Amino acid sequence: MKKIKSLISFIDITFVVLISGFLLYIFVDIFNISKTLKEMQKDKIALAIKNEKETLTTLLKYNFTDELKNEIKKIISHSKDIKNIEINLSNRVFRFNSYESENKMSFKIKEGEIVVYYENNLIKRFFEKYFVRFLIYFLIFFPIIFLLFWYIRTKILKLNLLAKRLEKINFKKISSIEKVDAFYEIENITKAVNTLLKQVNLFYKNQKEFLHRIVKYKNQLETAQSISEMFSWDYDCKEKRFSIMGKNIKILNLKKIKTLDDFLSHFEEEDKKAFKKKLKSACLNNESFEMIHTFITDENKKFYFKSVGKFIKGKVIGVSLNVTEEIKRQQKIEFLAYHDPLTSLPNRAYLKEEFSRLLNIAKRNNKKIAVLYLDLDNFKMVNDTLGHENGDKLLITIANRLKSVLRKSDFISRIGGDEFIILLYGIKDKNSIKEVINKIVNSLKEPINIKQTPIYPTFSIGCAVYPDDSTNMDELLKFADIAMYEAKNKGKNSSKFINEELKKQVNEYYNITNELKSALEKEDELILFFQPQIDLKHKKVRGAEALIRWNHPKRGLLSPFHFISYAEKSNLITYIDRYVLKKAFETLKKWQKYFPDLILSINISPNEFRQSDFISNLKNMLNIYKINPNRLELEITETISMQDIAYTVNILEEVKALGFKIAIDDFGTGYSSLNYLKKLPFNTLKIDQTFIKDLEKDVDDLIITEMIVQIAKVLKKETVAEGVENKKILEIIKNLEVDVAQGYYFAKPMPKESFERFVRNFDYNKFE
Amino acid sequence: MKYLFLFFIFFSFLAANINELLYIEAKLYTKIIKISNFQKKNKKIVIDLIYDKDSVKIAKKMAKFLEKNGVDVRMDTVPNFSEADAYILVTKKISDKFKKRLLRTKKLIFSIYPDMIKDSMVSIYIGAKVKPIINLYLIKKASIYINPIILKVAKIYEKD
Repeated sequence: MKKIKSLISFIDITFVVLISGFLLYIFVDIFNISKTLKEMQKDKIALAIKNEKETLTTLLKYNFTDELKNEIKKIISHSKDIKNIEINLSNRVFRFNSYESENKMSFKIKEGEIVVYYENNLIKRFFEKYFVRFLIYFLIFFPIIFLLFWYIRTKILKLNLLAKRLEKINFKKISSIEKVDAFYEIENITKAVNTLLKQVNLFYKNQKEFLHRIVKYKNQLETAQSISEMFSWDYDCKEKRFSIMGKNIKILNLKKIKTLDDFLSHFEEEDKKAFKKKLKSACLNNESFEMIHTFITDENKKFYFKSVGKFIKGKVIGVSLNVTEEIKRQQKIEFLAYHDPLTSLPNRAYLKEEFSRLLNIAKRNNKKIAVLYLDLDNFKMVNDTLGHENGDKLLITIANRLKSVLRKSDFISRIGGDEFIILLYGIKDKNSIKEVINKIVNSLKEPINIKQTPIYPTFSIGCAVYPDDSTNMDELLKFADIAMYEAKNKGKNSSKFINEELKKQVNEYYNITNELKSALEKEDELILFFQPQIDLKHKKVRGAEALIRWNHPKRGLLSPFHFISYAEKSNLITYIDRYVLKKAFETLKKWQKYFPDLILSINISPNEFRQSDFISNLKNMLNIYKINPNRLELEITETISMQDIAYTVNILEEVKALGFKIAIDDFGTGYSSLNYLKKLPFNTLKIDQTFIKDLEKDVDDLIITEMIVQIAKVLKKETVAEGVENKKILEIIKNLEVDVAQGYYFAKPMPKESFERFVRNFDYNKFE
Repeated sequence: MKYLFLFFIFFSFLAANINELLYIEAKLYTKIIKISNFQKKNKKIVIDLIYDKDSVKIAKKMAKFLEKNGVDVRMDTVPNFSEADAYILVTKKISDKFKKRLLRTKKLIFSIYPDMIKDSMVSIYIGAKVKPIINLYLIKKASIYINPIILKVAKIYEKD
């Protein structure tokens, strides 16, 4: 504003100075011109006189008065400015006329002087013209200049006003200003200012929104950082300045941290070095880095942070995220991956790793390792009677006791429900092993009180030694396992070292299971044999029980006795069950046309019965083969049916709902509760052959069989007598009103074609 | 000395190119007569050329040059005092008597000889420049009006 004011003053002064200067210039100019004109006039006169001087003098000297007068007259008339000439000679004076004035010039001549009186006509003439012109120019240009000045001054004043308004503008409130003048340039400036103001307003608005958003985002970020327990930091590589943001993680007390050293003082020593190294490398090589490090608070709480740093424009900008939970979870996962969660003992995976490591060490150091395979005797009973929770308590106590009696160098792991494996590294001989076994046994002599019940747990222990028994880890474990089974078979609470015979059994086990796997893939080695079941009332073939046979390529036809136990141990039984079921469905599908009334019975193993997809598999097969489910009888053993009765009832209900028949197999050998039995939705009771085959000799068997038949009748169930081997037994069971007979008397299990022939040719009278 | 020198020059000049000099004089004198308003209107200038027997040839030549300039020339051994507008002396032998009578005619008296200026009104001066020389005493004595222009170009004869 002051500048504009001073500008106006300056213009005013300039105008005055210019006018004054102009006038002064005119004055000086006039003065100079006058002077020059005077000089010119003098020169002109001088020139005129110079030319005439001699003539005039001569004329006067020789007294040519007339000629002199004429000459002077001529000079005066020519000159216009010269008004009189006076010639002063020593002896005479000539004066042309009486005119005198101050304007006179004297010219020295030899005899005297010539005085010329003149008028400044040149100046007069000049100024007459000059002033006229000046007046004309002045009258024309001065108003123009004045108007121009006035105009500029007015506009500058308007500009001044505009500037004042601009000065007072609060761009937050005013989006435009009024124009102060209609003057084109001012209007343009006003327009430009208004446009600028709009842009400024818009910019301010955007900036405000932007700032608002930034604050919002900052808060959100801080909240997010707080929630996610993270903070950011930056490190100026050049200035070595460190700053930290996200200070709202109160527990870390980050506000205290001012320098990098402050920050690193919370790190563990190793992490501190690593972080410094990475930070330095990031600064030098424009690198990014990522590391997980500790952060120990002032309260000595340990956290884990994942820090990611990136070099950007001379700074390493980083984010640190609290990954304590993640790390702990990871550690837990790692722990769980290698430990049994119940006892915290290493699990099978850990065992294998450790065993492998120890084997390498033992190999290098020529040491022995004893593998003890421990299986808790009767643990299932504890679980069943006292519940799983107490079973778990028992296991924990046992694990602790085992740990307490073992050396630190010994390795103990829990690999199954009640199975433990102990590795004794550097053991000397069997005696030393036995000493350890004795310690283990002694540790369990003291009873463990569960629910105020003293329990005396015992172990069956199998043992194999590296390198005496094998140098292969899996083989050693296998041998110890087999030895443990052998010990258990011996009567529990005992230990057994692996020996050559057992090793042979083990090898046989593995050979058979491998061959079984191969047989299952081929589908022509495992075949179904059919033992006819005779309906005694209607004297016809009721159906058959499908029994699996293994047509072994080397050993010939093998009964289930030779391979089922191996299948159960190796878990191949599941595949065999499904195989048998599939073959049964195929057979019934074929029989639908020729033997639609025949009932095919198949044995369902406990393993298959417990499979979660047992029912869905049945449904699936039914959908595939579209057979009459009433022609398929699923046999479950009495023992299975009485275990977890609720589960059994549910499954059997579903089986029955699908339309299948259900038979309770080997009835009389288990511990059936009549109360439970009446709940089971079965169709047939199969009396175990142990009662039937001695019927003719053993009165007890006869009474039991009679009772079973009576129970079946009460429950309105069909009875099947297995093991009918002669006519006498047939007669007895007929008298006992058994519904169906099955046994060698009628036929041994036979291939399908033979059975079909048997059915076609069956004549009951032949057996009476 | 001066006149001796002039004389010598004159004769040298005369000897070299008397005709040229006579031509210049003829032309110069005619002009002087004209600017001195001695010329009668619509009437030729009449010049009385006074010569002697020694200068007949020169006089004739002079007369011839004068005539070429449109001048009516009368050649006399004795001046005719009545009709001439001016007199040109082509002689050095002129008596005082004649001289006085010529003065009384109030006509311009020219002499072709520079050294005769004392007895004539106008003659020719031969110096760095060739220009007329006038004898203002005689002109004043004869009360003849002289055009001051002549003074500007002519040399003024001063008595010794």
